[in-house]
Amino acid sequence: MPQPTETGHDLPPVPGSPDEPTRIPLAIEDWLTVIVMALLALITFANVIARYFTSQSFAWTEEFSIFLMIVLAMVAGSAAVARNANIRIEFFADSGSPARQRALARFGALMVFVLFALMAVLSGRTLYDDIRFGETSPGIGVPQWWYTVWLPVLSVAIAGRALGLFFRRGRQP
Amino acid sequence: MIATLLFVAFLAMLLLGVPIGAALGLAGAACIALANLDTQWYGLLAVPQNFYAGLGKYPLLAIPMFVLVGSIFDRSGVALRLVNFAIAIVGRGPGMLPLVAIAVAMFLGGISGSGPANAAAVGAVMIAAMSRAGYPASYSASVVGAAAATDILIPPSVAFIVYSVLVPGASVPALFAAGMIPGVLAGIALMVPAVWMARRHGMGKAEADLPRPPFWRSLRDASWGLIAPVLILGGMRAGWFTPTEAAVVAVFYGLFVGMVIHRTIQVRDLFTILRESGELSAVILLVVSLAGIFAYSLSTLGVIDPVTKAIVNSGLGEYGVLALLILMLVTVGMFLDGVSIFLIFVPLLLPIVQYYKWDPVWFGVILTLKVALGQFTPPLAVNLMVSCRIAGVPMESTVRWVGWMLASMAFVMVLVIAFPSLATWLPRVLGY
Amino acid sequence: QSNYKAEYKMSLVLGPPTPWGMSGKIWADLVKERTQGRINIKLYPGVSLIQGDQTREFSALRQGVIDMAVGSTINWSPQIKELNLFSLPFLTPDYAGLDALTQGDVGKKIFAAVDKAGAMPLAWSENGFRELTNSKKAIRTPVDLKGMKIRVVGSPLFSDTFTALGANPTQMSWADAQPALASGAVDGQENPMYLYTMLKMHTVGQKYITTWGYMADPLIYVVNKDVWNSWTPADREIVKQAAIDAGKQGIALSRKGLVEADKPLMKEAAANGATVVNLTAAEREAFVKATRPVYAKWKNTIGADLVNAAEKAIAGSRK
Ligand code: NA
Ligand code: NA
Repeated sequence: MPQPTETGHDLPPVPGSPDEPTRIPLAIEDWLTVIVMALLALITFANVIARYFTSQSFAWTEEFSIFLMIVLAMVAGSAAVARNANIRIEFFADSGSPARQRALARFGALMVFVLFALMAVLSGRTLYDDIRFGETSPGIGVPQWWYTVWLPVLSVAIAGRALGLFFRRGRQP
Repeated sequence: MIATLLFVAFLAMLLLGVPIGAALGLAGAACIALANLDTQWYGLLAVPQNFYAGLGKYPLLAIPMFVLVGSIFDRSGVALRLVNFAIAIVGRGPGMLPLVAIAVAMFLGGISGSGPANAAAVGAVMIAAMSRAGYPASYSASVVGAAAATDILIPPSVAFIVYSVLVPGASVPALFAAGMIPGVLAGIALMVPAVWMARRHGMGKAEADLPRPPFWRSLRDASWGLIAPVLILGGMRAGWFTPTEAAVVAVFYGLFVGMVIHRTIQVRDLFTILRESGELSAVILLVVSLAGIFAYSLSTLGVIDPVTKAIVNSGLGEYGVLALLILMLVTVGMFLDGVSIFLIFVPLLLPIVQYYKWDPVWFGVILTLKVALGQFTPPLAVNLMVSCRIAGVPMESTVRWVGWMLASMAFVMVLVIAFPSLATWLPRVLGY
Repeated sequence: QSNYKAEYKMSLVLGPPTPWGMSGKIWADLVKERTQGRINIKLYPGVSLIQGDQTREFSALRQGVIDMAVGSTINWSPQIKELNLFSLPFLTPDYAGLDALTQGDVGKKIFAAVDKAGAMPLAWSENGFRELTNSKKAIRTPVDLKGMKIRVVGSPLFSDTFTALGANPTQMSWADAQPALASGAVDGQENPMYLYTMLKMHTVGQKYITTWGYMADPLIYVVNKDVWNSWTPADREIVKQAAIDAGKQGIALSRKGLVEADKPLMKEAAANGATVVNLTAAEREAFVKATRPVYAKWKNTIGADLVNAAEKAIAGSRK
């Protein structure tokens, strides 16, 4: 991850460079990311093969693949928050005095925390609705909450990673 | 009033370095709450609904898959063999290596869907070879960064997928077909100044006497790479697979070539490949989904109609408006990445497109050309960032070289504006 | 009346000039006129309020993300299982049967289910009988459908029906379907005839039409309950009556070109080069028979009482 240089300027992340230490290991998100990416590729590939040889495709794959993609966005997104690798304008935030850079980095992390804390609460309400009204999924007709339950869970994870970054940037000399 | 807050809050957060997705989501959520004080939960249940619905689109699945394709082909050893084959064709001498770099980047553009992945693949092979031949590192980084920008024009393209999701009238296959000719023209447009600068400054003399690779052998070595775009583009055209499926077929093809044929990918590399492409995709997808919240706010606040009216009644005329839009986007593009530009501006610009009855596919190609230019316009230039890192030079050092290439590719944009059929002819012939 | 909103958001899948879009537009216009502008409604076609996700429209309406909607029974069936009734294969053979459902006792039961699911139902309109088209060959028997890749709207009941007929159903939005049909990745689709004409489906190779009328989706006018309760009783009455009036016009529009003796819509399709197959009673029976197990399976999910009442109402309409 970005090595602070003498000017305090963050260089773009170099692949293979070590991560800043985090209390909760990033390996959790990394392994989930790898598994989800592999599943996405395998399911879609199996579908192509099945259709080619049997002219049938699995009806459940589209709905499940979309769900996996949402999980990917949030799980790998959580790691990206911890690594501060999300797309942002670095022009002003990564220049100026180290104190200013640190303050802006903490502000950014705090905003991510606020958004995903909000998302956790609101998607919790959506989950409650899905259970209360017995909603089923449009594709294969399974209970919708099987999917929605992961939204608040993963939102909490992202909010937690943002908070972690906020404290880490606060501890920086 | 609330609309002003939407833009001011968003811009302020953006400039302070808040991640773009978070700035979009928070500004959108704040405005939804203010506009719906009487509604249950202040109307904020629109936030998770739009977050989920913004992501829950099957065509978007092509994004992580094409990012994965780029990551795999980056390591598959295909680029190196394509370079050898290209040298076997054009020979050595001043100006030949930049020509090869651009041609190979265009060819890889037919496999990969994003510029930075292309810059990494071509840069890894070409930048070292070019310094051995006596090209300055800043020049090589400029050529590779610019050449990789043709990737999002030449199908497949992540930019077109995002545009298509935003514009119901523009399908992925139509956009892919429409990008083909402008993409090739852009590549040719880059070759002219690149070769001219090399000759003028006498670069690349050091390798003129190196042996030329044997033609047939390099053709055989390169054949695995040469087949890939045929498989991907041909398979989509023949109706064998959708863009997403084409990406997945390319993933397994690339793994086969990298692991079995060229043996440049080990089993343990798979973890890194999947993790890195997963995270890069997530970064894009999160902006896509959080932009959905911003878009909901934008469309319900009723700001788009008056802004559209003001613009079309400004007396600038059709081409004046288009010029103004491009000027604005070029400015914005200095700081924002391409996908974010699409997500923020396409909903705003679509009513203008409809007012002037512009072809949405053609407009998508123009926007993508502009984004491609932005990918190698400092200070925010994702492709240059990658190629400069490989070359070990600061981005400022590329300024003296990229200017001519930017101008040359901008000329292609003017051509496509003046002659829309450069974009619309191929999709029409193919029946999309 | 301080808690009236300046503008209310109406969600629609298709905008004007489709019968669906007109059903919404006429409603909005009537409401504005009859309330002297107290209630202003803006149309959001393409379900743009939730990024085009048709199957979450009803949830969003219940949660106040959408104020009102004219929605299809197909799209809202994930939230209201009773709405699957109308998607039962070959439930009703004609408009008389459909009217007997929506305008009678069954319609009231359905409205009770919509109410229980959290929204205020007001009136009915119609999207119409859905006919089968494809690019490969004229379909007269279930055997002709075998192995054909057919695009259907997202619902497990549709997948079951087409699987039972030996076809290969694939769920996708129309935005994806169009290029898929053009490139031949998908062979066919099912939609009301007015859409075949309006979307110029003959240009994406859909040359064969089979008018089997296997189902018709009605449209329901609903309002979010908080919004409904915020209005004065007089305004509620106006909104409801406007929905009923607009629905009548919408139904007439959706049947236009199909109820006249010479069926101008079918003629137009034929003039564009389409081969139209009108199934004989015996041919249709083969499709009915092949889908009976699906019908039986879903009868339990929907509620046997409701389906029995529907069968009775349809039988009554045939006297
Ligand atoms: Na490409
Ligand atoms: Na589209």
